[in-house]
Amino acid sequence: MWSCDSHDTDFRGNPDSASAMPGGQGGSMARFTIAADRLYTVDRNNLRVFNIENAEQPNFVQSVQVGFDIETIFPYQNRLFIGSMAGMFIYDIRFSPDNPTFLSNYEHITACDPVVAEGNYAYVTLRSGRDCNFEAINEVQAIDISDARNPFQVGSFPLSGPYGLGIDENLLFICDGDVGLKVFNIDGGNFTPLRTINNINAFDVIVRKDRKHLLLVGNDGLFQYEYQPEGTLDWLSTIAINRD
Amino acid sequence: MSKLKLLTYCLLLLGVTACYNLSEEVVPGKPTEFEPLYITRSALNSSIQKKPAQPLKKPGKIYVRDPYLFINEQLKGVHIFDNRNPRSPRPLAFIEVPGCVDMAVKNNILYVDNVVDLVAIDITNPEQPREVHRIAEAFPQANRLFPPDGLYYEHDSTKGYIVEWIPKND
Repeated sequence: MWSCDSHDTDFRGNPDSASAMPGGQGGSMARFTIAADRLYTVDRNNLRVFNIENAEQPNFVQSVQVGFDIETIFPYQNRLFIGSMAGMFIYDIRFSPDNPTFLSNYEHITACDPVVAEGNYAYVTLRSGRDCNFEAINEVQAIDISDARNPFQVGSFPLSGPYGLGIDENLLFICDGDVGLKVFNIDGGNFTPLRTINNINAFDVIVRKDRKHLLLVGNDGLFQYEYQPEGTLDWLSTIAINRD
Repeated sequence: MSKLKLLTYCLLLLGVTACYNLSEEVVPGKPTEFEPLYITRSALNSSIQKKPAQPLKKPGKIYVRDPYLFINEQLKGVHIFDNRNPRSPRPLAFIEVPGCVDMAVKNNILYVDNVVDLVAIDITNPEQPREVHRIAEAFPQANRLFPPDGLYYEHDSTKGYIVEWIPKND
């Protein structure tokens, strides 16, 4: 089951992606991502494009000004979902990977926000706190992206101080900081809490859909789980931090 | 005449730059409680080092590329594990990468941010990582000019780039 010979997929293991590519998978807090044989990076105001057709010779293509306080980038179906303090930006890379095309900007109140997408919906977590706006709220929002040029909110659920998140069909995993990892059943904008792993600090997750394998990182270390479609999690291993 | 024009242009430009700098300058106030850790260009160019596997201290972002698991040690580098069996991930190596926050992998190439640079590292043998390409100042905004407490500090660009800020009473 855990053999390493299964094919590698890009777009976070999404089977719908145009072609299986030799890239790996990062978490939702990532500012680097590989799609369409390009390395895309975000920092503060810019989306940067590097051509990595020749992997050993990354070649800077261009820098695209996106907005302010860009935090995260998530690739899904030839699109880049960019999380910023002010909202979520959607860019298309299908026709011109070197020249991402702006599709839309979903604006919300100022907060830190990674984003994941699946099917017709994107999910963003909004967090207030030290590095963010104190006025902001803590919640997850569901956004209808069936028309990527016109995203709109269809639901939300309150959280404590969320960071990264991961998705596999109707299962949504959210890192809620010191509260731990929360698992939801989702149906568009409807959130049904299933369970919480509440004895650990949770910062980001990688959800490997093809293997039903979840990796969780936080202040306490790295934790691996196998999950079931009904949202149960079986612990596999822990790489603990050295507290000395 | 053309030399005079050039000189006038330069002076004008200088004036504009000076004005710009003046308006951007942080007003000296309460000094920061943090000490900057600088790295020079030449030190940065040779800062990526192979180290034996070591324990996690402040884990950051994570990345998977079968059969490997990569865990960022915040601003210090990348832990590499053999994760063929997720029930018992096996530590392989630590790549010291000052200023590293993000990672991505294509084939056998690991991309990292090394303060302001983007670096490609060949990890065909993760225990013998090999830097193969570096794009200097790919991320100019990664030069951490301002201390985390937001208090006053006069940046000295002759010392290089600021990798991180360390509390003075540490």
